[in-house]
Amino acid sequence: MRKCLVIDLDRCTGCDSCVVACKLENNIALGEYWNRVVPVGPSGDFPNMELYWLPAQCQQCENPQCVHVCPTGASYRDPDTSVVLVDKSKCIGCQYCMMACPYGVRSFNKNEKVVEKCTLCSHLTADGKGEPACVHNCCAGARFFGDLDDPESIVSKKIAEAGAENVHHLPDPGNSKPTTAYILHSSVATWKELK
Amino acid sequence: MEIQWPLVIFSLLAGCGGATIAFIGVSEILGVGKKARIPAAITAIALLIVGGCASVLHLGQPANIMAAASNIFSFSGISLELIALGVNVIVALVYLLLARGGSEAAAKVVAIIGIATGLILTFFVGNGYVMESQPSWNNVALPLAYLGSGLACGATLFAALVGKDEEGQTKMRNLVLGSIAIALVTFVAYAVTTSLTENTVVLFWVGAVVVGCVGSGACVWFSQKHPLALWAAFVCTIVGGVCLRATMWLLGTGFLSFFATASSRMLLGA
Repeated sequence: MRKCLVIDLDRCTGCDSCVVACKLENNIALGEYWNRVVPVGPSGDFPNMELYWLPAQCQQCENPQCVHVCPTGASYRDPDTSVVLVDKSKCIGCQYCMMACPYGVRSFNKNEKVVEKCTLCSHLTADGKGEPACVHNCCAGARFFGDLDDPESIVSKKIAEAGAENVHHLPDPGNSKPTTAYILHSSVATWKELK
Repeated sequence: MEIQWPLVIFSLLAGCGGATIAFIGVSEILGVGKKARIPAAITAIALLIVGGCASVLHLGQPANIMAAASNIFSFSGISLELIALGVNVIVALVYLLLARGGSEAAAKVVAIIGIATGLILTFFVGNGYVMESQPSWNNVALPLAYLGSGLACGATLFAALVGKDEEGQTKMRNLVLGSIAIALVTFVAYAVTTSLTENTVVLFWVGAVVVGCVGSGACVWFSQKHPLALWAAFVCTIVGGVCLRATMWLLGTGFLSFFATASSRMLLGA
C-alpha cells in the first residue's frame, strides 16, 4: 500500500484553504506549518504569461532521506501505509531530518522541541475511511488522497485520467522517489522543473 | 540557513582534539616535542568533552543525547561522530596511563593508533553534512576542509604546548606549516567547488583563508623569535575554523526549501 496525495494544479487557486485546514486539524502553532502553497511564475512575456500554484508538503518519498539520517529511528516509513511519520517520543530534536529533506517541508515544533511533518492526517485516515483535512477542505476540489497501488483508488484514477504527460513529480536530487503527484496540463501552464 | 553555533563549537573542538591526538602520534614517530605529549593528551580529552557537551545544546533537550547514545549503532552521521569521539577519548586516556606509567613502547603504539582515530574524527565531524538535499554541502571537499581546519588547529596547539624546543624546532615548524598549507588547500578547494554567496565571500576569504591560514602561517614563522606567537597562530586557526563553519551554515539553502520560500514570499520559476 502506498498512501499519497494527487494534486490537480489545473484546479488549484492558491487559496490556502489546505494550509488553514491543516493547521486547525493538527493544532499547529502560529508561524509553523506542515504544508504551504507557493506560486510558480509568473513567467513568459506579456500577454502570453502563465502562473500556477504549487501546494507543497511531505512528498511521502519511497526512499526518504529524512529516515536515513535519523539517529534514533524516530523518522520512519509506516510499513502498512508507506506514510512517512515521526515518532515524537523518539525524536531528539537534532533536526538532521530537516537538513536532509530535499523539499524543506519539515517543521520544528518549538514548544515540544521535536520535528513534525504532514502525516496525511493518520489519526483520521488510519482506519482506511477518512481523508486528510487538506483534501476534505479543498474548496477547488484539487486534492485527492488514496492508495497508489490500488487501481480503483481515486488517486490512481486521476493519474490515469490525466495521462502520463500531464502527471508530474518534484525533481529528485538523489534517489528519494517522491510519490506525491501533480497534475498540470500544458494548456493551463507549463510545468517548471524547479531547482 | 541559520548558523547552528553548538554544532560549530562541537565540530571545531572535536576536530581540534582529534587532530591534537594525531599530532601526539606524529611527535612520537618524529621524536619531537616530548614534553608536550602529556599536556596535549589532557588538553585533547578536555576539548573532546567540552565539544561533546556543546553538541547536546543543539538537541531539543540536552538529555536527549542518551537516546542518541542508545541508538549508537544506527550508523547515522551523529552516531558515527559519537563513536569516533568516544574512541578518541579512550585512546587519549590509555595513552596518558601508559605514558605516565613509564611504558614508553606501549604508549608509542597507542599514539600511532591515535593518528588514525584522530584524523577519522576530524574528517567525520564534517562528513555528516554531506547530503544530496544540500547542494552546497554535497561535496567531499567539505569534510576535507573540516579535516584541514582540524589539522591546522591541532598542529598549532601542539606546537604552542611544546613552546621553545631547540632540538626539534625545525621539524616542528615544518610540520605546523605543512598542516596550515593543507588547511589552505582544502579551504580553497571547497570554495572553488561550491558557490559562495554575497554574504559569505568576506567571511570565507578574509576570516577562513587570510586570518585562518595566511595569518596563522605568519605567526608560526614569527615564532622563531617569539615562541608565544604560536599561541597567536592557534587563535588564528580557531578563527579560521569558525569562519569556515559559519560559511557552510550560511550556504545551506536546501535543494528546494518550500516553507522558507513561502515565508519569504519568493516566487519560483518566474
